[in-house]
Amino acid sequence: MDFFKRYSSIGSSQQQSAAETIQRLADRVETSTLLEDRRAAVLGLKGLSREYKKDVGEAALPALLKVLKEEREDQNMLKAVLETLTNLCTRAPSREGIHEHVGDSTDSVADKFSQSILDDSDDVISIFLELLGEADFYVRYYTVQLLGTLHLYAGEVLQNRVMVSPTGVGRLVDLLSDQRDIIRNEGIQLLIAMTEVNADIQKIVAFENAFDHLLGIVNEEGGVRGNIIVQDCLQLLHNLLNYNVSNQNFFRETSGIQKLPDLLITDPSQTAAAQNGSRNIDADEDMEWTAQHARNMLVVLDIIRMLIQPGNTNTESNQTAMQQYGLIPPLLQLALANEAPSSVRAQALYAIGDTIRSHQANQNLFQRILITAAADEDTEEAEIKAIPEPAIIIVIRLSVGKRPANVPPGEYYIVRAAAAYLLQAYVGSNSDAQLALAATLTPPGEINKITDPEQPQSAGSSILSVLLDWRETSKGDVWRVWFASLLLSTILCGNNECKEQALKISLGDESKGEDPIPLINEILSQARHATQQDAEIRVSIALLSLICVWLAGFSKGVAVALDESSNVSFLVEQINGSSGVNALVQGISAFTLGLIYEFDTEADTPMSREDLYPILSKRVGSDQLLIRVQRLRDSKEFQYAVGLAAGAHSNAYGGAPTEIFFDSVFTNLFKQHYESFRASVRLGPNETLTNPSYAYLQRGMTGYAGTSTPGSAPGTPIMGEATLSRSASPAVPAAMAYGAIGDVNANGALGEAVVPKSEIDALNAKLLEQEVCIADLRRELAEAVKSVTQESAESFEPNDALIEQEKHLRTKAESERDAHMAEIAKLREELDAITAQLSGGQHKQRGSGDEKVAAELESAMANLKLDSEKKQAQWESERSELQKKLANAEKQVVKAAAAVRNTNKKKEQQQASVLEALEKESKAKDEQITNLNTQVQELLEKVKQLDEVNDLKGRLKGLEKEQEDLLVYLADQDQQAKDYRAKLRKYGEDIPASDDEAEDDNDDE
Amino acid sequence: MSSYTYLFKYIIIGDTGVGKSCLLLQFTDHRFLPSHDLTIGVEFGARMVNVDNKDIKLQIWDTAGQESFRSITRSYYRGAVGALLVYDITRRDTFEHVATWLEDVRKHSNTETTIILIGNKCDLEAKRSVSREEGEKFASDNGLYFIETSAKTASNVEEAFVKTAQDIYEKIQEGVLVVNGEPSGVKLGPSQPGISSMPDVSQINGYGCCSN
Repeated sequence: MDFFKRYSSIGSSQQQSAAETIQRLADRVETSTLLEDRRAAVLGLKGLSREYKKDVGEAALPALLKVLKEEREDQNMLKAVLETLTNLCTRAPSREGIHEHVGDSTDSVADKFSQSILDDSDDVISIFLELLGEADFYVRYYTVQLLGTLHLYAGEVLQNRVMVSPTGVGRLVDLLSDQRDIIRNEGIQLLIAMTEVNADIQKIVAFENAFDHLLGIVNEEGGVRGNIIVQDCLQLLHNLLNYNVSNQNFFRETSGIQKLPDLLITDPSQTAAAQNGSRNIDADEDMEWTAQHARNMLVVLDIIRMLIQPGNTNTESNQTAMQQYGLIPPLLQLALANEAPSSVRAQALYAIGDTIRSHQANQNLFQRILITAAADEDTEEAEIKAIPEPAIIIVIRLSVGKRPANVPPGEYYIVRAAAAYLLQAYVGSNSDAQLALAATLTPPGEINKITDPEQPQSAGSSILSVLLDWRETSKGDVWRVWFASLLLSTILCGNNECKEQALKISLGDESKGEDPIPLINEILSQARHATQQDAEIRVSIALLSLICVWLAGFSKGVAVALDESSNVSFLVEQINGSSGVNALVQGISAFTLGLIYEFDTEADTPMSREDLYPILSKRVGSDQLLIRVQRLRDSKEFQYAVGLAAGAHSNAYGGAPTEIFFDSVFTNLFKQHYESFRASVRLGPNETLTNPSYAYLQRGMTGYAGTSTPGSAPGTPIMGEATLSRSASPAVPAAMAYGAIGDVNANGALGEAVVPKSEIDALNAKLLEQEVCIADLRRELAEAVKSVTQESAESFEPNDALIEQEKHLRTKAESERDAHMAEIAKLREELDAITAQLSGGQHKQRGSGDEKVAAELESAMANLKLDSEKKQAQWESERSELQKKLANAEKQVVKAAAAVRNTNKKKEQQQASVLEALEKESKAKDEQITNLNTQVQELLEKVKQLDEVNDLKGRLKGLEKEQEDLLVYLADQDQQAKDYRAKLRKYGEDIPASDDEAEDDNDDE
Repeated sequence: MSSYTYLFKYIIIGDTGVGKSCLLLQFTDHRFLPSHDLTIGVEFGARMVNVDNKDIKLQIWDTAGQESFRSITRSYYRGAVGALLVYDITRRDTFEHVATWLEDVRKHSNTETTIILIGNKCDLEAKRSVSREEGEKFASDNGLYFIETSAKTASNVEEAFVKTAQDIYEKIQEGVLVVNGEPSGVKLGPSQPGISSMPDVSQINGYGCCSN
């Protein structure tokens, strides 16, 4: 400051004098021959650099950089230069008043200087990196600070410059082992910033043993219970592993996973106590969860989940390693720790779920874990009473049990959701576990027992008791009932053995003279009560969702449900209600009734489809029913649940979303089944024999859809989506498409046809061609499947010829499909053109005399429609037969392959994939047919519009022709068309215009 | 994932297309991919070998041979204790560049780093354009180990990695290399006496765990 005082006295204005002084000092730094002078000048500049940033930078930056390059020996000068540079490049204004020129913000000044340093032609960055190797505290400290400041300004540029230096990243990592905490902590900060996105730096940092360093620091700082430095270290570890497969491998191969349980075990005394044989933790362990502790733990849990993300190639080996190194017990302990924050408990449960998901060995090991739960309060008694229970029961209790008194229901929701996720991960692709749980479904006996927590209950009965006693259990926390329903759905989903098991349960004490009521009817009756008594809407929805999952594809259950006549009347009442009925309950009731009708196929059903049909078609009306269901599908609540299942929303740390009404098991069923549901509701009682393959209803809980990211979608663990791709979903029957024609005809507005007839003819011909082509393909496919079936039945040896044949067929199908696609696209284009033309046409009022004709036309059209429906039904049954064969073939191939699996595993896979491809082909064809149907319908509409041309005869004529061309496959079309023609000639006398023309046309034919 | 006595870090370097990634894949997975994508940056692989009845974990960083990645790959030289310098016996230019590579390694790595010169693709005898003698001579002139390998037939691949490990192991025995020195490509395994091992998780207080 002496310098400032000395020099500042020269000028009159302070600003002026400061600028002059700074220029003098800068000159001195550059030109003075004496080291002392230069050093003194640098110190002077340093003193001024905060207040007169702009002046100092503009005057002295090159001189300062020159010092760095040329005389680094003088430590004091070096320190001063580094500090000055840091001051110049720091954006945040210091607290002192800054003297700056108007229009120059300090930020832009600082940025300018940062840029000049980065632009320096002599690569001053590498000098900084070298300086990191200097032992002097301040040199290191200021250098790290300066690099951090530069990184704030231009991270990517700096990262690239650091990587160019072979030792650059290494020097940075070396900071982690600096004994001086301040430097070490600065180094951690800088590394966190640099590893956020740059995968190359992440790898080099990991290569330089950062994993060991970081875990070492965490240990030194007191483990996961430590301070914010621990969080920083964990954050850096997180950065190194996130999205970096190479580093994840390296982490596993450096025994990283082995060290993870250490991070979870927070209290060393626990281990000691365990060795003493002490059994209770809650009593002596007064673990206080600070916010910092929770934050640290959440990062650890995040790291664990990151390593076992669904679908990653490393996931399985990481799951194995985690199990092997005992990660599950400490995770369970965290999950069960009442005093831990809900977010930590939830993440721990998710982590366990991820550890066992789709991993059979881990699932089996998890099954065998027994836990002696510590009692809540009375430790003495608990120790006497404590009986080891399977972990899964405890997890179920977390999901549906009472919550700790001090946790609000919205917050505890995330724990319940996470526990449900774990259960789903446990039974996912593990039908043995599903069955084992279903076997525990026993009547809860006295329902009051749930109020007595000391009484151990089986997994199944604890779910049932919460579910059936919903009046009590939903008080103040409706999620208990909601999750009980979800868990039971999970246990039953897609597994008829489990469904039957549950169907056997009856409630009601016969010894007391009560009639036993099957569980399914009890739940339906509870749903009725809940709805009628205006209980929280989620109760009704949860109970009905469960019923839907139970009944889908399970005719025995339907028969039992129909045994109780009030069930159907309750559903009908809900569907027909026009006011005072919740639209969601209405929709789900409609879906339930539709499922009952669809799967009412037991021979000894108390109410046959014939009996149900009038209720469906008259009292409710199929349209009405479908509209209710559609409204459910379109509701924002349902869409939200679908979005959740797809991992679109993520709020693992938040509370219960108010938008959640539907669970993922139900929404998955709904989505997969929706199309065939619509079709089957429309069918008459005897038209049921379409035999669609409801593969997705019989596949059990699948492992995982693979869309979830850690921390996403609480309460809606994802499953079953994978089944979609393999299930052959029956297409919408064309009957529905044709059905629309009648309605359209009744409409009044007519358009004038200006489309050349030939164009439509050509289109129709092409359409027909396509359909024939597809039929051919279908035959080929059927043949192939047949041969596959035969061959695999005949010989258990994988057949190369078969594979060849399948390959050939697939290639052929593929090329043909491509050709079809192209043609369809062309057709569509042409149709668009026609539509455009049509829309340009005039509208005309329909004459009153035409109405009669129109009526005639309508009935004619109705006949046509009927015929086409028949055709369609035929098509459908053909197709479903094909699907059945396909399914059979698949089964047999799988069987055959299983027999020779050991020797021929690869071939088996080939066969499976070929079959899958064939199945996909078949699906693609189905789609094409649906497309074609749509097009046919579109064409029919065009025909209708053509009909509305001013000349009625011409219109009629046109229609006939269109119909002929369009519906060539309808055998008796011609005959009918002739009838109309005759009728029209009669009418023709009443119509003066274009009479002759029509006659001529008829003659032409 | 079992325990090991030592952990060695290797790097594989050499011109692009000489078969570095294929050597690694053959060594770690016993597989050969005829068309391997260009390596981007650096890839990691690991395997256990046995030297003198001791389990040694090899961590291997396979680097991109392209010039544009050179600055990134150089960052790995310092921390490696073994370097596999690979050329292609059917492409003379790759052999001619070996001197440059060697200079680069020597400049940036530790003096104790064991370097082995590998002439790869020795299954393509018909296309050979670098004789075995030339390779041997260059190696002995520069104090390197030498071996010809084929990642395709797996010939000598195991030997190349193990021989390097043996040399490093001997240097440790002789005290030339300091274990866990900084920076060093050699570390002790995690389960050595004196190094804290895992607590027995099955005995965590309060939860009798029957899963193991």
